[in-house]
Amino acid sequence: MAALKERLGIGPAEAQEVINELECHLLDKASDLESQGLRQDEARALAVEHMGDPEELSRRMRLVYGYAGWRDILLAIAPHLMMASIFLANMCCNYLVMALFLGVIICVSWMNWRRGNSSKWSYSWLGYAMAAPAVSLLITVHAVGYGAWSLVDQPDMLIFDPKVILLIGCAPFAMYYVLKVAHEMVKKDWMWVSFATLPLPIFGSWALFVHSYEIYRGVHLEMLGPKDYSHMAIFVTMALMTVLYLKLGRRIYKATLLALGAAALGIMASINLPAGFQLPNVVMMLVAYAALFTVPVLWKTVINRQQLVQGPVV
Amino acid sequence: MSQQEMLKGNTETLLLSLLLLEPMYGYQIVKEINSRSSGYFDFKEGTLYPALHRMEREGLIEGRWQNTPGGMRRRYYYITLKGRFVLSDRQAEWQRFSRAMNSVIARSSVQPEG
Repeated sequence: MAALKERLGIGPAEAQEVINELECHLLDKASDLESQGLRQDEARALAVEHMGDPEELSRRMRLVYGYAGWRDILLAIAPHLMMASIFLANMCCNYLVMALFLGVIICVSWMNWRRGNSSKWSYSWLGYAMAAPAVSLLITVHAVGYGAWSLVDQPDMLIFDPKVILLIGCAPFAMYYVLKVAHEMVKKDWMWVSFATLPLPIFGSWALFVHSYEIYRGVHLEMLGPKDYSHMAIFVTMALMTVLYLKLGRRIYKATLLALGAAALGIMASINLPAGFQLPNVVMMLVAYAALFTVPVLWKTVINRQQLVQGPVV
Repeated sequence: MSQQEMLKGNTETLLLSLLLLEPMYGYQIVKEINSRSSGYFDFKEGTLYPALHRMEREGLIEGRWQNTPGGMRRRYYYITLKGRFVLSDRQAEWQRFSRAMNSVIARSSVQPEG
């Protein structure tokens, strides 16, 4: 069974489910064979033999779980393409459009989450649903840091801004929401969290840029030009990565795609920062991606260790 | 056409028909199909479980873990509403197919040589 689990190459939660079911089947069959007069060891050996070639079974299971259909793929790339369109139309600074986009994302993700449905397409939606509170946390940290400094420098500024106060008030709820959703996703499969969080660094850097320029310096974002092709290209790249990720069967290929794709996205995002191409920006973006890639797997290791000590987390 | 090839195209219909009678777990399904077909259909586990999981993902059936009186946990499969509709279509299609096949082959029976 351990060999089969390794060969399955599907998500750990799904693999465990399959293994539990097959173990149950083997016990039933062995018990039946024993009742027909076979010795226990003979019955078990025969039950395993009847199970057939584990490689063939793994291949068939990968066909069920490893690949996504085109409906799933279209739904999965929809939020990336929506973001690409928003940047193409240079409506990223239009609060109404952004609020509408996030509203749709959060509603769909919430409904899906409530149904207990972890369809393959839902993870990219969840990523954007987590982006909103994650970015508000980031801005809060930035605002508090900047505000503390500005209290010394310009006492009449910032920290008393109603928007900043609102953000600080929302921060604990945002943190709770992000951690809770991420924890549930990590319990199922850490790799989907790494996949879902692909937009976060880009969203974060862009939001910090908007925040810094619009609130603190009063410079409006029309400086970006009528069409923002460069940001659009980043979200189109994410959509292409999503197609590949969902079409690849083996986990090792998925992990490689995520690692290479995240590095490419990090470089693209840092080149597209308003400050232009600067090495520290590239390093920071790559560090952000490396953190998002490694935290879920470490988290999963901790959960597994807890399960070994305390029994399964329900 | 071999028995395995014929079975391949009709696995879903067989499984749905069986689950319409009552919810069953994997090993029970294998035994039930084997006994109802007098041993003609010999389902291999390597075929059965991928088919059950695929059908579950398509929403035709639903798997639920349940404790048995003996203390074992088994995954029982239930047919869904969508599964019932699909089964009804497949049964109708099968009736048309078998009528057409019978009407053709009944008129041309081959006598074995020798």
